[in-house]
Amino acid sequence: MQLKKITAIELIGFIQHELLLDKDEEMYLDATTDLVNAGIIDSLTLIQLVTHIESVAGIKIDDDEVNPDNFKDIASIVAFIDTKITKKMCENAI
Amino acid sequence: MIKSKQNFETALKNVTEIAENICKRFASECDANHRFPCEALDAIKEKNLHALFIPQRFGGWGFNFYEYQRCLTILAQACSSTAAAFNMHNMVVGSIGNYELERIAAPKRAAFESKLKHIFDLIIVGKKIFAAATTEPGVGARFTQIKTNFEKTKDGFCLNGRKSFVTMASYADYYLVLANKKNIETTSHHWLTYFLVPRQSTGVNIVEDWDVLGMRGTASYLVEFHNVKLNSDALFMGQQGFALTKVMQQPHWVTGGYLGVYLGIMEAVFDFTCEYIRQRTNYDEQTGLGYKPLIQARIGEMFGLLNNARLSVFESATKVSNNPDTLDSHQSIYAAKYYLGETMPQLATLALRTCGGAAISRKFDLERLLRDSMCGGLMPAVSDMCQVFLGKTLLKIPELDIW
Repeated sequence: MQLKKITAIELIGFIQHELLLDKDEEMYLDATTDLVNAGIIDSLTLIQLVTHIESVAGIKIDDDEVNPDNFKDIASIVAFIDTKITKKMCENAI
Repeated sequence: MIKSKQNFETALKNVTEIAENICKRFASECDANHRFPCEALDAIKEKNLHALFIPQRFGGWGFNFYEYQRCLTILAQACSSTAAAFNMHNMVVGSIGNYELERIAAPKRAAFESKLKHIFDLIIVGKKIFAAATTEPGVGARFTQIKTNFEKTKDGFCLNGRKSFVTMASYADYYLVLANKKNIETTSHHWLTYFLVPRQSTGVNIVEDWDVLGMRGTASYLVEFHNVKLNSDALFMGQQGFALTKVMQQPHWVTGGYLGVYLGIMEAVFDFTCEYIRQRTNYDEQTGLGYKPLIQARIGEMFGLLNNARLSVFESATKVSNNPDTLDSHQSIYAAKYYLGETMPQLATLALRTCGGAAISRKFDLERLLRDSMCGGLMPAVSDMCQVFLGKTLLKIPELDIW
């Protein structure tokens, strides 16, 4: 599968349109919005988010990597994806 | 709203039978001896009622929050300790019982479903009971300040800490323990994680210290965890961190569960008062006490409080059943918790004044109900926290965390 970086704006769009469907008010999100404090991340939404990232970015995310260090805000997620993609590209190049 | 009327009526009938035939028999004795009402919980398991929140396709009843509150109220009316204990189990199960699995794409859905099935099988096939172990000595229900910690080991995790008010600590088969990652700064709550810990694990120590004012039968002991070794399966739903989000996003699992318990106590107080007054005569011994306008007014006042409590509980439960994720649902749950926590002792005090001095005797249920009613506002979210949540959201203060 082709590797593709995901931008913060793309992720914000996904969260707003797919994960926050049941919210009765539009939620303002930016790259540093704390996803825990904003009440966005739970078991279900986390899986939805991981599934989306895997299918768009073309990477496999291990269960152990789905943790607050990598998923606490959009900026962390983007950095995590970038690192995974770079690592994968290096492996492919060898 | 009720998915299967017959299913619901069967559960109500079973719960009523347990309440009438078992809970009422043991309520006073359990209170007097601060003994856990294991007979009632055994009967609940026997009738599979500990699976109310498990979806029907997994072998449970598939109840929503409203249906659950109806059952809980009946139990609490007979024995508040039984209902409080039953509620703890259901708050754990319910928090994972209502996932909309269709929202997960197929590749991940099967794995998620198998984690759910593992837990549901423990309950239905293994007849296991779960207890929530969240609050801590000196911390209370301020989840962001929790000191119980875990660290990763080669084979899984190691858990250390102390949990207070662990309802049915000596009866439950598993504790759902909330812990933070070791060496993380105390203000960081992102790593708060739930672990399913078998009661029999090496390093688990129960301190049987529950001799309190009310809810004396709940066996809400202190539980200590000393280097408890857990395998990877103990990670609840396989999720590291983010536990606080669930509390914030669906507060009814922590805060709203108690509502049926408190409403049941209020129903029992009101029933007792009416029955007591009907049997008493006025000092002239010519007429019943109920013929006095003052008494009639008191009963009317009490009914007003009770009726508002019913409306508050069932309206918030209905909102949560229809859509648990909206601010309106959250506000409704916090408002109901606040209202019942504060109104329940008010109603019990009014009952005492209405019935008069003789009713203070321990031979009457009112004395126990009065003590049980005093504790509602102290359970999480405590009344002050409920008020703060409501104030913050109504003033549109963006930081919603009250925990």
